[in-house]
Amino acid sequence: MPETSKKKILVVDDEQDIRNFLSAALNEAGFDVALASDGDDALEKIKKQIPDLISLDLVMPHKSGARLYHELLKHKAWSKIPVIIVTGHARDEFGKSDLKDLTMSGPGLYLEKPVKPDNYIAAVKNILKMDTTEEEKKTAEMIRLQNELKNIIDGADNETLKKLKEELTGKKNR
Amino acid sequence: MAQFNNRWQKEYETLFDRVPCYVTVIDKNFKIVRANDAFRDSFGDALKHHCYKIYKRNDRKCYNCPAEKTFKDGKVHRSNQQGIGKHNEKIFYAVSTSALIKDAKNINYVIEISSDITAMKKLEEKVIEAKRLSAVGQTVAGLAHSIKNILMGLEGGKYIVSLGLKKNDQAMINQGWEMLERNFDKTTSLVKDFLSFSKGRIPELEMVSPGDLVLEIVDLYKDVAAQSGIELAAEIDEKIKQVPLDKAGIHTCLTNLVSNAIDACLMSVQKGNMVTIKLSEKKSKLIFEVHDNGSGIDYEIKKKIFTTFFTTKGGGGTGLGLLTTRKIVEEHGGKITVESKRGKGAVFRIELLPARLMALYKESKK
Repeated sequence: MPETSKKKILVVDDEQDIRNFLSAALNEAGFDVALASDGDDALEKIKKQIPDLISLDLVMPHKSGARLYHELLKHKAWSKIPVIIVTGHARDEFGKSDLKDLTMSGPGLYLEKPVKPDNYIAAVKNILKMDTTEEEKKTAEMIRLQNELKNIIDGADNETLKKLKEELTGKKNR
Repeated sequence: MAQFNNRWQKEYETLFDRVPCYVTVIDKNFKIVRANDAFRDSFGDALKHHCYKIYKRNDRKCYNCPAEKTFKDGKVHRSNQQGIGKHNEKIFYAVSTSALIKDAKNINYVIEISSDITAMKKLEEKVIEAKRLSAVGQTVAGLAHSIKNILMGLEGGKYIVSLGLKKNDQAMINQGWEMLERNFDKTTSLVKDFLSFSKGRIPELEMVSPGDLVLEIVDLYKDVAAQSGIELAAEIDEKIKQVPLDKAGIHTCLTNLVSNAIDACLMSVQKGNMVTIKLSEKKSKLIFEVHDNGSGIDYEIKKKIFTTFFTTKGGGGTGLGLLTTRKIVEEHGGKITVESKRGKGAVFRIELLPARLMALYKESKK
């Protein structure tokens, strides 16, 4: 795939197995991949070469994903790099507040671990506005909608949640 | 004059009956000779009965009876007790006892004044229950996160193996297979750690020499540390004698702290790393300390280090070590603290109270 081979992805995760997994999937889809094991390491790599997209874990030693992200925002050239958050902490106390901060301000979206390789690649291609197959388009659209819905749910009050539930299930709340 | 005395007597009687506390007077045989209205309303008719029979329906004196102490020394004593009301309901009360005649050598009567703290006690129980539930919630969230990470590793292994098969790439198949194996192993250690975390609530105390325990840990980890160029040492105050401890429990705590310290040294950029276990006694506290000059801990991690189920070891840990350590220490009635700055090493400190442990130990031997 000549077009995608130009795109460079920086995968940041403290777990080696996950770095291996994501880089294998990205290589297979024709991307160039750089790896970093924490926020500090990632900054070093970004200084050397600005990637087209960052795939970012949230909870890591040294510098967390959230802290790295805030540092990127302060830097003009870096603040435009799209980010995909790949995290297991999406909806627990540890990651939730971080996540809210992130999705409100910048480009990108989040995927909750465990991710399927197809979904991951579809999301990457979608953010980079690359040519995608019909299947990938559908998957990316699904992920985008899921993300929006999760954000609405996380920020909603009880009344809104009840209405939402009625709408989705067609059942009145007792 | 007689009329005057009569009026005072009536006023005192009213005061005695109407004061919103339980008031009883008992004689040397612990028999109730007077009781006020409030007491009768809650506990029923009591005159000439033993106080322990009426307050608690016991057949012998209560453990930690404050009245008994007052009979002995004439001083005021206080304690919190739990009794049974006339409708069989639990009543919690805070009781104060005082000699009826001041400065007397032979005290014949003691007055007991108690306030009902049942409502407060119930509130306290609710708070404890709420805390327990929130801890359970956090634990379940942490467990879910660990499982998600393992699933991601398995998913990755599966993907890489199938990719390797498709491309006929043996190196890739091997890499994927190793990922699968590693994540299966992680499941085993997660289950093992989780079981040890959820195990038991009461420490099984036995007389242990804390110094010997420390030396055991040094023996256990000396080689592992040396292989990574880390020096492991012990500093033991030789004066410290045997203390009742849950040996297996404290062993777990120390192994967790020492293996964390070694990991912190491995993550550190500087050389000449050292881990020291110190055992000392200060202000009647028994203190275990594990010092390292490794990578140190960030402030944001430190806040959550004993309460949240997570790991910064990049998949090398289950995230339960320090939670389990804190739980064991608290079951011993002790506390655990940490001092650390990023890049400046760390000190984990366990403080135990030998006197308290001794009381628990004697209680358990009865």
